[in-house]
Amino acid sequence: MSQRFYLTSKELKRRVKKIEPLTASFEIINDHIIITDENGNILYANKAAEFSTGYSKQEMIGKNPGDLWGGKMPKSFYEKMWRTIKFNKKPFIGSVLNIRKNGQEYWQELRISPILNKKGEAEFFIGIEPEITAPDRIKTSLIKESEQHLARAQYISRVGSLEWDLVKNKMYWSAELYDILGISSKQVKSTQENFLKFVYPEDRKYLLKFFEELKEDFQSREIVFRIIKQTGEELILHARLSVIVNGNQKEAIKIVGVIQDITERKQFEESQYELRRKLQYSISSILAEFKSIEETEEKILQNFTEILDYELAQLWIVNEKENELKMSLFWKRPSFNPKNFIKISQKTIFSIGIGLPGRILRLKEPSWISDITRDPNFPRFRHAKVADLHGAFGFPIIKNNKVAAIIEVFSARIISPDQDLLNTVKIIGEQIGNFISQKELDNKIRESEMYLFKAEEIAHFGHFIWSIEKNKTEWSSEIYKILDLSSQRPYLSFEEFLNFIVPEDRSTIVSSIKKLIKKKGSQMGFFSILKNNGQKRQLQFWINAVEDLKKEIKLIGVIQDVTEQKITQEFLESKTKNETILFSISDGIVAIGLDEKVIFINRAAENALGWKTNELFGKKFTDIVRIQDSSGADIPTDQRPIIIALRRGISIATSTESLSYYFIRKDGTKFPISVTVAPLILNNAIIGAMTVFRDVSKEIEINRVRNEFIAFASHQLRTPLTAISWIAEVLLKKEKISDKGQVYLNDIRLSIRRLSELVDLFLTVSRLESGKMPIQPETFDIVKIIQFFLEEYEPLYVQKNINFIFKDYPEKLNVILDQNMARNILISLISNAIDYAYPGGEVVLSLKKQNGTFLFQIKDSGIGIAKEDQGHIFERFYRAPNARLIKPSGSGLGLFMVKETVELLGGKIWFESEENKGATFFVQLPLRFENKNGKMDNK
Amino acid sequence: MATKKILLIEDDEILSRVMAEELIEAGFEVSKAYDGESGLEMARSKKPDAVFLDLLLPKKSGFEVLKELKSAPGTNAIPVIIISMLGADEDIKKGLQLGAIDYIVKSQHALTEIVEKAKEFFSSEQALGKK
Repeated sequence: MSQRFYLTSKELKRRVKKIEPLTASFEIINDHIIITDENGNILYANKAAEFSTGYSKQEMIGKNPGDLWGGKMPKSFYEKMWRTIKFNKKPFIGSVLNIRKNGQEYWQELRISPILNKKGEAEFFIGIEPEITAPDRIKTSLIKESEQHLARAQYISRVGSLEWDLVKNKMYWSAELYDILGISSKQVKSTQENFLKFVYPEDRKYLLKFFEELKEDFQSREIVFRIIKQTGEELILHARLSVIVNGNQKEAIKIVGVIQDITERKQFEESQYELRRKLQYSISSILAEFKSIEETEEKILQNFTEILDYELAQLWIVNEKENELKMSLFWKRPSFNPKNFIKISQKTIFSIGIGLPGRILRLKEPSWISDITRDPNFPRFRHAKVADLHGAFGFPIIKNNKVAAIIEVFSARIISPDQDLLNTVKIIGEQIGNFISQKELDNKIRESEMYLFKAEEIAHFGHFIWSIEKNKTEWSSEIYKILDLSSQRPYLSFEEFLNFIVPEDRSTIVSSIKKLIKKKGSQMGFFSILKNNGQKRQLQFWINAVEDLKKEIKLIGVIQDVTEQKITQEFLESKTKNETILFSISDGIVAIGLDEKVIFINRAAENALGWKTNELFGKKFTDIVRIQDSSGADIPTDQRPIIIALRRGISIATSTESLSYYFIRKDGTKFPISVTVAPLILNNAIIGAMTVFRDVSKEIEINRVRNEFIAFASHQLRTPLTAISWIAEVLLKKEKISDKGQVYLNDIRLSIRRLSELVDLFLTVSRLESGKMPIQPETFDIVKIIQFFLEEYEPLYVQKNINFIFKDYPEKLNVILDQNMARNILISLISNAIDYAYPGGEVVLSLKKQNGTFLFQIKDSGIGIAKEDQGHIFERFYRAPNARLIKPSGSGLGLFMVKETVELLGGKIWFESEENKGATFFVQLPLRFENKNGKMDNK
Repeated sequence: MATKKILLIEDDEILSRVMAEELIEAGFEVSKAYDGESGLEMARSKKPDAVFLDLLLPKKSGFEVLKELKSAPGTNAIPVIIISMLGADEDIKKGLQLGAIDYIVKSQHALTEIVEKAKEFFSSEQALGKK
């Protein structure tokens, strides 16, 4: 997609806003994440992307990655990428060469996924490039190291070098290599095929296999192989080759190495040495191809037998006490008939000093017997005779200076001792031993490294090694995490690290390090760092100055982020100080740390829950104290208020009215609570959460009784009211009553109507409060309803000479809400506006649609609400003094009912007002009522 | 058109009396019951053309009366109009679900309106050709 479609700044803003909800959680992810629109314009980039590309967010937004860091790959690559994500709507995964702002090139694995809109079109793309992990960094540095080795080796010994570009499949030979091969660069092209042509036919397969293995595991390794020059001369070459791996560490891109002619060195060796060389060479190859100890052992036995032209080889293992030997393995020539010799060997346990194996165990040296059938210290001589075995020698496998095993080899011939061969096998024995112990050590190191990394991750501690002379520092990946640095950061020097330390601690740390270097030894302490995002963290350190074998001083340190522990500690310390205060609070208080374990509980909580401090402290609160909803179902841990507060960092409060939580006491009984939870925040970071709760059984009982009373009273009041009303009606209609009497009767009816309305309001309020108000959503046109009220109230506002205006509203606005409730809200607000507007004033209504909601505004030019009353006007029975003056008969229930109803419908109500300057009430309601099990009001 | 018989089941004496008088004046024959049980009894014996039923009644609630009327073969065809103080939507819904054909909240209507409703009901019945 070479054609670029850029966005106008307005359109860009709109799209950036659209994806905002997606991106909050991306900020903390260590992988580089980019979101683009369908044309590749960047709408979002996370922090990690800033690190990996070197561009700031501002520089990236609205641009195309191709303009910034892309474009280094062949055109076909990008075409394929766009085809996959845009037209096939499939995720794309590939390795990509990018270029940082500073010009540095880097390989990265790229994953792009399309996000489809409702129409199934790709609307956005999310591109993720994983951070380079610690192992990769180590590998990269190893390769660098081996490159240095190569250069040095070449310099010292004038050897040929070879570079094989696997991507382009091109080989480069150095002038020295041409020399070794005996050709000039003009004669032969430096291809792999041509190189192999020089290789001794038997060694070709071996060499090819060697290359394959190199490409597979990227380990540098050595090989000895033969070549035949054009002159027919045979050379023995030694090669040491390494692999260069591309950025994402998945593919070998180059093989480089040095090749040395070792024929010359061997030339002085006589033919008898050839055998030993062969033996050694074969053993080296076996070890180089090491897979398992068992397989290697068997191959070694076979090689000894075959190369030396012997009949049988047996391996003996030394016991732990190093005083006995037991045979574990043998290899025989197919043509050889051992009769009972092997069986007898298998059954025999040799003590130290006894027989050939015992003798070698004692001497820790190879041993030779010209003819075992005549040897005084060879207990198996009879069986050897039967099997026709004569000449034999054996040698120890020395591991960590101890004899670990013994190999004995038997020939059908009588053979006089060959000291040179014994010398060779001695070396081979040591070589095998060293190799095995190296392998074991490797495994151990690998294991312990793994454990270390795991442990560091769990405990949030990292380590570093600072080689002081070279001023080179190695940091474990946890350190990068602690500092909030991307581990892609090329190199962190020790000085740079010191700069993270807050100034007030830095000089102390620096001077104590200096002292430590002088005196050696170790030290422990604390310091604070200031991260790039401004966050302060407390770290604990243990440092150790040591001298290595080369007398170089190194500073080895372990660093742990102890901010949370410190805070807990401080919290506990302050708790002790404030114990009396916290303990005298009658509300239950429980605080938990980031690990959700209880760090504080006060006495009221102890008493309410029935659990003692020591039973809760240090344990996960949610594991011990259960919480249920009103139906008696346990609330899942992740939905418990305190956990929500901890994980999302929000405060939540429940009220008695919206009550829905019950704590379960230790004895299994439960009690209703009103609860407030809040995250504990320090330096912008959540470090825990706290719950404050109260047993509200009594309040609930009082509420219940009150509501019942109201419901009962309302009904009982209504019956006589209705009777009075009806009788007045009949009287007016039928009886002959004087004009004055008729006026009185009308007054009676009007008063009854007011009383009736009041009773209805009571009933509504009691229902709202008891939560028994069923919501019955239906579709209706809210504009029509408002217009209906305008007509209905016309006599009232005309009478008061109020200019009543409904403007700025859509022609029609269908909503799905409880119509009665919507009416109640409107009636209350409209009649309030009329009641409190000054005569001759103005009431302005408006209505507008606003993303899934509608906003109703009613502005009057009336008495307004004094500042001191503003916090109370939604309270039940509250009446502001100025309102009381104007309308003494108000119930103080209207606005309370309105607010309750608005909230029940999932909306919001607020107002703006100044005393004597009128008031504007705003009601925002959803266009469609949705039944959320919203039992909590987030505050 | 024969005089229509209305059974008025209403426990409040005054309301019952005022309502009955108005209905009689409007040309209906009205019998009165003051509790659920006697109301049910009278519905069975008098076979009224319509029952005006209050909900909060002594001895047997209006809902129960309605349920029994609608489940007995002799009375299930009698139209029932609920006249109650309970104005809650769920009560109205429940009443209609149990088989009432209309629901009037007393406190929200003038007496004349209730009489009008009774007239309307019978005239529409007639128009539909029932009885």
